[in-house]
Amino acid sequence: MSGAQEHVEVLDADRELASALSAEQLKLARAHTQARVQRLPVGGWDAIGEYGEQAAWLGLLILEGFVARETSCEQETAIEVIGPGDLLRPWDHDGEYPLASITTRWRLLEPTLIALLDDEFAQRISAWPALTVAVIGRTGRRARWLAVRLIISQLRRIDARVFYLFWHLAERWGSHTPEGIVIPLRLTHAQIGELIGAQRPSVTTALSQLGGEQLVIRLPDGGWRIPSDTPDRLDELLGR
Amino acid sequence: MEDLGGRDASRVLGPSRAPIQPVPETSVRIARLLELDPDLGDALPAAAFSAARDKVLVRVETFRVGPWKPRLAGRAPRPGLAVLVIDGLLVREIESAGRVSAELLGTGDVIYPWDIDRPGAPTGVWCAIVPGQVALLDESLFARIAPWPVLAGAIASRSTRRGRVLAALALTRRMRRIDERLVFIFALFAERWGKVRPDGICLSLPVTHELLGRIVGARRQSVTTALGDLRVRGLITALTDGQWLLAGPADPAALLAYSRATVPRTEEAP
Repeated sequence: MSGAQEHVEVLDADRELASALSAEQLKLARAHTQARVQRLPVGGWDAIGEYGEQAAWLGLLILEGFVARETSCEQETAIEVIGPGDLLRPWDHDGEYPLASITTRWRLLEPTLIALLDDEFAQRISAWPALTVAVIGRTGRRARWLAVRLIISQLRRIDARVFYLFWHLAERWGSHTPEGIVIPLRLTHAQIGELIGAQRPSVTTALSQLGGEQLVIRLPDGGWRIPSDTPDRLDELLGR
Repeated sequence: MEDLGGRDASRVLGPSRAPIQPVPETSVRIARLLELDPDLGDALPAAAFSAARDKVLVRVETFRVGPWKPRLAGRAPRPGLAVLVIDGLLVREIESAGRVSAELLGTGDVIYPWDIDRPGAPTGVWCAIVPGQVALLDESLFARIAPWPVLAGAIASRSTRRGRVLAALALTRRMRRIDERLVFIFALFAERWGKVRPDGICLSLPVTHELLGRIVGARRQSVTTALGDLRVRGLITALTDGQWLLAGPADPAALLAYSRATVPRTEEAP
């Protein structure tokens, strides 16, 4: 396993998980939620080679950073962006589709910190079943977000898809600033296209239009900013 | 990370559609999880499997065709609670920005029928198209499987499967041709639910053209045209009683290649 290893108490690192427990349970459980963490650099990530088949693990919990899951069939590729709070199980590949036909690759978009929720971790937290429910429930959340992505990619206008995508990302990982909502995620135009089912040149054109209207602004650090009143502006755009 | 939830998102995301018909009556019973779904215990040694099979009990609810709303969680369902689909076929639809998207869930899928992320986010509307059963995966179930943590891993694996299928469905949005989208999803369905017979793979899937359109992101009329074309080309044929016959392997790439080798005549996606 590559990268320097440290440990965190998962309930401190992911406060939302802590909300699954009462104050009294939390006091008892905290010390039992220590997990190994790994810091991973930007770039391709051989997640399956790294961890092997870990059927008994709960999964890998992202604490910081962003990961792209690229699904490809022939020349087509669609990606999913996975970020803080999401749970991955990259070694899972049951028979819902043949691996030779549809392939998956992982790419770290930012320096990423993950907690390894291994079988020992699963054993330790089993005394607090509500916590196990909350951890596994993170995978359900990913599925719901993917379902919204399918809706976005059905919109006729590419600029509406792009703007809706950034609102969708802001809902999960955005931060309010006086200038608007900042999304700390560096995405290329091609990756945006793979997220919304559009070609790269169409995305570039749409981003240019949206930038001209001050709706989607690329920041110097590679992140993005959208207006605080995005729901109203998106309504307007969808109504055009 | 700041929670931006509930900020008038319902206007953007559109209203969730309430079921029009009443939810059919259901029945609830207690059953052994590993008898309902033995594959969950694949990683257990034989003796542990036997012990777990006897001790891990779940509440199981039947459902009939029609709008579906599970009642297993009692009066206070909590977000994050899941159910395991034992058999039957469910559809989850979401509506947003004037568009509807659908997914099919069946045997072995772990789903979260009570979950919403935040007020205003699109809420799924559930409907059963084949009657079946679901088992409640609540805190008491996870307390019972505590001696066998590998079972929690198996449930987590099932829960991620839905995401993998949705990720594959996202690929259909990259395909311009509706017939190719249909070939792709029928190959996915065949891999999961198909039965091989001498003339191809048979799928029992009572889906309308409209529902197929919502799954692949196309209009009903385009689906009807594309299915007519696929039937002429001998790739996908609607049989009687919700059965479909798929020629060739349950392999999306191979079937797509075969499809592309024939003369295409259907329209492209918008």
